[in-house]
Amino acid sequence: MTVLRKILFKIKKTGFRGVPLNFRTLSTVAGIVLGVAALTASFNFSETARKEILKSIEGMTNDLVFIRNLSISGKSSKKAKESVSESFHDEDSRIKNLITGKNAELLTESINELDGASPVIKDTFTIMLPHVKRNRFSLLGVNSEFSNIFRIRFFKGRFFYPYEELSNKRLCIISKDTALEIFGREKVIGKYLSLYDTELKIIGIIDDFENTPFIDKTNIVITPYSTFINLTGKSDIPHFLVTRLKKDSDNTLAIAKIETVLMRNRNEKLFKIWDQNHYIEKRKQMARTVEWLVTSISFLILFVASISCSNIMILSVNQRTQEIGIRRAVGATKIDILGMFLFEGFILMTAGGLLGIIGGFFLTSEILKPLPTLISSYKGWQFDFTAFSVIRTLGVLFLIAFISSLIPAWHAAKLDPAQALRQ
Amino acid sequence: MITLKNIHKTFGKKPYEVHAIRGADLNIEKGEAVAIFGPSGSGKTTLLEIIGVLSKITIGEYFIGNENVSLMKDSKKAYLRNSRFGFVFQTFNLIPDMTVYHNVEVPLQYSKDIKGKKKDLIKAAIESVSLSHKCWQVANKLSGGEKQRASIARAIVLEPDIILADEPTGNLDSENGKIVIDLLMDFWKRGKTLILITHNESLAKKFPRILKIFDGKITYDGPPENFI
Repeated sequence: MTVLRKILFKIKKTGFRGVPLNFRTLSTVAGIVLGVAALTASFNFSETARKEILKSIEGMTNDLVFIRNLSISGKSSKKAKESVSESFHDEDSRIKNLITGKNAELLTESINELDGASPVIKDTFTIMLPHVKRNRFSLLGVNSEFSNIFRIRFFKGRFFYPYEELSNKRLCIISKDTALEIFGREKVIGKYLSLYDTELKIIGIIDDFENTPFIDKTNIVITPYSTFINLTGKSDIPHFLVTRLKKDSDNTLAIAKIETVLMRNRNEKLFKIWDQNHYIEKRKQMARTVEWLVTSISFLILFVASISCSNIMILSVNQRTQEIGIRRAVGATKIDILGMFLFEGFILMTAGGLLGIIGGFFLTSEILKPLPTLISSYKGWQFDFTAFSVIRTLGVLFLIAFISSLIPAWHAAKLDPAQALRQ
Repeated sequence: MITLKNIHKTFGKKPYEVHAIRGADLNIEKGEAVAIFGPSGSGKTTLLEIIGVLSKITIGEYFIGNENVSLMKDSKKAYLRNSRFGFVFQTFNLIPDMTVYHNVEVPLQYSKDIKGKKKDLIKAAIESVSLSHKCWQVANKLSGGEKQRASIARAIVLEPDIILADEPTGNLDSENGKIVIDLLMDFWKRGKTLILITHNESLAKKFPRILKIFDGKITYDGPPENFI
């Protein structure tokens, strides 16, 4: 209480008498409110974006190596596969050079550094069930080593064995969210999922597996590679092969060996090999860029708000020049006058700032929070109103309040008392 | 108590500078009542502002007691204005949207050595100018005479040594003018120093000492008897 009383006394001593409640003040406060609300929401957005981008590479290791077919005939990879599929039996030498699912086995057998390899082929399917909200799912065709490569953790059940893959067993493993969406809280293991007019027996529910940007972990159904080919009628051209390197293996050496093995029976290199290092760095850079971009925009918003605040402070100083003269004549120092106007700016900014933070809270909950359901790029993102964004906003706000008030306040303090009295 | 040595004050920059005071030498002792008389634009107000440490000197030296005002820092000058001087202006210079009470309180906000309770000091000052009934009236609702009395209350609330009055009756009718002059004279009679600017020769002659200024120079400094 004593400290508060001392502060109040100091404020009163500066001659601060409150802020005039007129249209100009209200419009300035409104400007600050909008600026701060936008700033808080931007900070929440950038913080979430940064967190989500970093989360997407969290736990991502550098020992996964991917091999993907390049596009042929100048077509995109997807179109290339379609054309390959259409003309699979053609004697086109280029098509022979494409990677196939069988190459996964070849790699595992030939290269000591590899701890398994699997082809990954994808398709999407739709289930029309009245209770299923999101009815598009991804179907993956992989081999039995996929589970080991991606360190799959099972919620229930298991992955398929090599013999089940070889014998085209109609089995599938589904992700936990798929199970929940299709079957709700019923027991799922042993039930059948109908795809392409075929019943696939569910033998496992995936809880989680290692992050990779190339496989979306949500809403997936996994079948043996051979079953996938049979079901969909697609050709044996996977989207990519994935291998895991053994612990302490040299990535460059392993990649060179993979290339050598794959080039044994090929006369043209139509594939690309890469590990996740480049991707991880790119995502980190993206996180930094998002943060930088949003912060820059935010500062621009606050800059405009601060000009508005500065403007009203200049007007206030001009209107109260005589009062400044009177106060100087009866004993106010330059510092007192400086304090008086700085405090006025502080009050303006605080009033606008606090209302703006409430506005920021509404912007976050009303505009940002529904984003993941509206835009697929934000799927799974959680936009929350964080204390950190409030602290950051307040920090920036008070810095700008100080700077924007300082110039007019200094102008007021500098006035010669006699000159001020004459105006 | 107040000593000015070869004071010059110019406004503006060369070649457009205006010489408001040209070499003023002056000595005013404690308890004196001095009327500064002169035509408009002669430099009376500038001289008063210099004495009241409201304006900087261009050339010369200004002493209050043994202290050289010209060498003082802003905070010391502010302290001096607060503790030693009381100002009464022709245009009253009250803060218009503040009450009489709060206007009188302003010097106390900056005072480091208040003796007694603030409230009592303010009320006593307001009472001494017979404005107690208008204590909570906003300044811009007062009549001219009341405004000037409120201004005197503000000037004397900290019991300064010197009152500087710049044409305090200039905007008042004769009745109110008389009340104001009586209040200021009462202050002088209590042993304080009064320096007053006036156009009014008969008012000037009521003072034991008259300074006549013309074109920034003190052309007469003496008793009213010899003043022509």
